[in-house]
Amino acid sequence: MTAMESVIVAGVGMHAWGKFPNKSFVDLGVCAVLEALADAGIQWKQVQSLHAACNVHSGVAGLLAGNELAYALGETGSRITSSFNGCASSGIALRQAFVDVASGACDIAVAAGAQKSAEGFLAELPCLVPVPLDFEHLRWQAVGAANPAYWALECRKRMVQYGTTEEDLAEIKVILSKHGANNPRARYRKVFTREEVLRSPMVADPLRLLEVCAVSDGAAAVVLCNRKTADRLSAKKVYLRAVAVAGSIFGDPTIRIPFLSAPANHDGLANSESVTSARAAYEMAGIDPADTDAVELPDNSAWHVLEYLESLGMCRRGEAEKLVRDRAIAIGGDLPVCPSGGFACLGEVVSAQGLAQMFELTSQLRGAAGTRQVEGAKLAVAQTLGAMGNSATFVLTR
Amino acid sequence: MPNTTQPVEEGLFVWPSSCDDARLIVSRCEKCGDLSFPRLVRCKNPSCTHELTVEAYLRGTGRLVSYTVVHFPPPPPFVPADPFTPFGIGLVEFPEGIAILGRIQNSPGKIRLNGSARLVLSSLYNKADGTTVMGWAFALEEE
Repeated sequence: MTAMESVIVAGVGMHAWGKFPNKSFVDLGVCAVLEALADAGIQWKQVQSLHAACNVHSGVAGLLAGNELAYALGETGSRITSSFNGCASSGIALRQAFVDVASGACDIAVAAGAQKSAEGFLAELPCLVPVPLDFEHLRWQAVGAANPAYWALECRKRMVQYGTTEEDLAEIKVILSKHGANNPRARYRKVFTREEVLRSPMVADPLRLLEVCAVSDGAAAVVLCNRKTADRLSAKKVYLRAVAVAGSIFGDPTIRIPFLSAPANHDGLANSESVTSARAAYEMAGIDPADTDAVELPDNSAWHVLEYLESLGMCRRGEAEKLVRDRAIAIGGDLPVCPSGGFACLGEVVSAQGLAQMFELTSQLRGAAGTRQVEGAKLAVAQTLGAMGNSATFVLTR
Repeated sequence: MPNTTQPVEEGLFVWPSSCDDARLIVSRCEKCGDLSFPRLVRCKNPSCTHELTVEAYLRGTGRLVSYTVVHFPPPPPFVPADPFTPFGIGLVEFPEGIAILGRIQNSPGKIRLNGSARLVLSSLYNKADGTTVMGWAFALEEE
């Protein structure tokens, strides 16, 4: 699509990520939305649409997350949606808000995601009416394949194809831990050494405990507005140039969550949803990914950093390990990756992943990221992924 | 096969069957050849024409193109062995053009990438009434 109106990130909010036994997901979400509104200098009553990501760990309340938040914030009759696309859900919520403003339908739109997560691996959700031959059920019952097992299978393919080493995977965690150490909203702020990472227990060989993200509680929210509205606000303008969403393409050989098979198609486009949403976003924004100053990618595991640098077009296939070995992905390097610390440090909050990335990159483009600031950041890209082939890519400029 | 065994779900593999010669039930489009596991009623190739598929069987050996060893017990409905022992999950490519995800029967130390992997049936767990629940798995050729 072509945006008819410029879309400006008026405000961002983020409740710290971690474990918060005494707060509900609505408490966390309201906190993030109010912070984003205060950051923008906009009143809740001025918001014309609220787009939330579903929180599937909290039953119908979580499925109606948008209504739950709107009820707690005060019902105004504004348009509300709640979407679920796995970990890409908040990217879809952002897309809804973006389209509202870009199309001229709204002056001000909000995207929000909030979640309290069940302990342990992300697991099968209760199902009231069983689905015959449901691979989301069978992958647990008949195979025992938790999410890290899928990542590990793709990671080992990569090790064979490109010579990725266990040290490369550990080094990624080391770099991200240094970024996260400077992020007061991150759940994990300890700096790890390569030896510590390599001593952490294996989860799904070759991926170790410190190389996979930990499911967490948290929330994030973004207020978008058009130029007319932004001109009245005091904040430094950060532009949301594109939000593109894509699904995967038939023939993609990636073994993705939660499938039990994949085409044995060596010529197919791997990780096709990521490649497709990235290309669409760059085209919409009219940018060259080579000019990116900072990227937040979906680092659900250390392997993801390698894969998504390539599927995002930040380097050619097989070159991501070199960027790690050269420490180009560290703040101060040529292509800082996950200056927030990524999901490695923030944790994994399924319904807020993309909006946490928006919080970070908006802070970076405003020059307000403190001790983790990427100097002179002008162009930033984020991408989040969801199970079954969901991808959302965002492009921001100052 | 004693009658105290049952498949994890009907429609995944031919049952009853010898455990050493499993046949996975896949669907095949007779127009474009696309295979699906588990089976689908219609062809899923968007460039094809959503033809009704035919039932076909995948059996024999493929090549282990990737694997992982799971070191923590997955959550329910997975039923871990007691005590839990790490187990392998493999991705096996078959010459028919499909890669299948499944448990590896061999102990983790015996897994060899790119080796030959044979489709078998294997016990997943025992139910409280003593019934053994069967699933598909891979038996790797050992040196």
